[in-house]
Amino acid sequence: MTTPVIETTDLAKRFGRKWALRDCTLSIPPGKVAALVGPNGAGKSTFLRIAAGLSRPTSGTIKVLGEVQDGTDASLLQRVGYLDQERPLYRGFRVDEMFRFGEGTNPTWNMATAHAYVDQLGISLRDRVNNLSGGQQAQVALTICLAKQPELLILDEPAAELDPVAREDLLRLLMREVAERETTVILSTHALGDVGSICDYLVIMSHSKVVLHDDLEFVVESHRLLSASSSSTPALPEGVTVIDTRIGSRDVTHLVRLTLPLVEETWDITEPTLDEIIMAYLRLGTDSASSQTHVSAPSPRGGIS
Amino acid sequence: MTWMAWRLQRSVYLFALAVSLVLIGLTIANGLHLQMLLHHWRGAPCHGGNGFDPKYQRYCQSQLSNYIGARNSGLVVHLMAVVPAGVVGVVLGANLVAGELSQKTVRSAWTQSVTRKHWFATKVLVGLVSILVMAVPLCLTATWWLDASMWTPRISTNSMTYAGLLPAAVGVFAFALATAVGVILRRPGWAVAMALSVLLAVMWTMQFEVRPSLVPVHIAIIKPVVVTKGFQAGKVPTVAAPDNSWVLFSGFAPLHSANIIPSQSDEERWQGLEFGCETAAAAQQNEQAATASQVAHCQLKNGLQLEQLYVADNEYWKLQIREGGLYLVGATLLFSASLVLVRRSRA
Repeated sequence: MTTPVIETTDLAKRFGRKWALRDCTLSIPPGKVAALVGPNGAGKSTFLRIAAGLSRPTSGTIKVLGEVQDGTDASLLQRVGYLDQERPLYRGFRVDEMFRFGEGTNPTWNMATAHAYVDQLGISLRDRVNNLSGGQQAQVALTICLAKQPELLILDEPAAELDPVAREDLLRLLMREVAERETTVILSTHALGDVGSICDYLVIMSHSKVVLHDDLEFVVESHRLLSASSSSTPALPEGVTVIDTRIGSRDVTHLVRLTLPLVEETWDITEPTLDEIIMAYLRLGTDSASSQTHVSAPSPRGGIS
Repeated sequence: MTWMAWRLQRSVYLFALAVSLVLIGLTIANGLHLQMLLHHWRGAPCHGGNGFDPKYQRYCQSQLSNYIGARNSGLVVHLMAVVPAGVVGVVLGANLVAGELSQKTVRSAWTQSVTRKHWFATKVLVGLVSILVMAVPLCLTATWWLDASMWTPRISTNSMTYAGLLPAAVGVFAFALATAVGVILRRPGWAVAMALSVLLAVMWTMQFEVRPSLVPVHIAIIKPVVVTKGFQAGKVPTVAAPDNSWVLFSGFAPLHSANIIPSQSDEERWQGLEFGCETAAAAQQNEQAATASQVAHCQLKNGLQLEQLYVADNEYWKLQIREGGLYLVGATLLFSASLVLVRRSRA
């Protein structure tokens, strides 16, 4: 059995009286590009910072690459790359000085890789960080993570606030690294388009809790849209869990998670898009005029948490 | 990592180093000028005011006033070691952790392949070496200047903190203090303000409350010299403490009192008793000045003696090492506390 890259048990983090993360139990297998999706304040960054060793949980445990992560083990830090959403580079440094910083703090640093990446991106080594555009800063920050040659790459909204071209360049750089070195990647994002195009594992967080985590393929396979006329709504079939309900003027649509094979003729059944599934989970627990929440959050492979 | 620590403080430090070199140059120039003026005053024809020919009186007076004027106007120079060392210590310390916390660059630093302990220890070490490289020449120059200017005994309050080892120790303590305050406040600007305030309070306490108890205090009894004729008829107190000693107390105190510096209220009470003796004797004689024997008798009756409490000059280095050691112990404790906080701190 392969060791999960991240394994948490009842992980929780509290800032003052506010819980940023609660009851977080999940396991992310190696070799995946996992997307961490959720609204602002859902606890994504808190989770990633704990995973990177920047913050300690209030309760619960977290193992990263099979080791307890508390930020004090240099050998574990060496195996994990972290890119913060604010891309905190040393503003007065030149790019080559940032690389020197990376080289001095990482025994596995590959300077040739770092130079090759920024060369491809058209960034000069003599440029000062504070003179670079936001996209270039993100690329330099990602290059530092990649040149460290980690086994696990944790990226907190790496493409946030980037224009489409910079975003494309950044994701291409990332995908090339994944293809070449088979690095496991966990990235948080608000761009649902990125989830389907570059990720193969999905973690959805809402209200400081993990509400879904599973292989992307299985997530799509295990959800269906059930529609019927609102005037004569049939009973829901067995083996489904309603995630979200939309009541229109003429019909009712349920997004359901299947826990048993669906044999049904009274409902009109269609396969939802990934965006529809994600949005349904993000609406869990929120009030909306057009949707009603019927169930608590499901855990992977059919259970109800 | 060492390069990184150096690179982050390089601009501030090089500026401070340049300022220090200018200060050293000015201090040496000022010291040489004072030495020259003192040489003129002490040499022929003035001989330091001893037995010069009256025809040189105007010349000698001008030599003396030149020396005193130059010395007084250069008194600020005695701060040239402790102030730069303290300020640089505070600025480097405030930026050591708080600068990175406020810029959030710790999120980069703490996720590389070095532990926070290693990161912190390297930065502290580089900061300490930098401060000492700057402070040691300043200490040597300030020590030389205080000696050359003949301003005050080196062990006196006006001189002790500003020369010898203490400016360097103060710089190290300031560095540790600002580091600890910065870790707590997480803002370098606030850390500088808070650390400077605390540093001044600590230095004041060390100078006036702690220092006198670090080395043995000696007592010298002043025997009145009776003058029976002339304008100053009465008693003329003489100084009993050895030359260049640090006089902590000079006044009336009970006979056989311990070598403990009296409190303000005790001092006033004993001064009042002595004043009573003077007044009573004067009233009895109906004269301006009381006779020495009457006053001495009254003092004996009240159990008082005129004394000086002092620390001798030969205790100078012992005092420097003990006070400097206290600053360094404080710095070590503050660095340890900072390390604990850094390891627990969230980025």
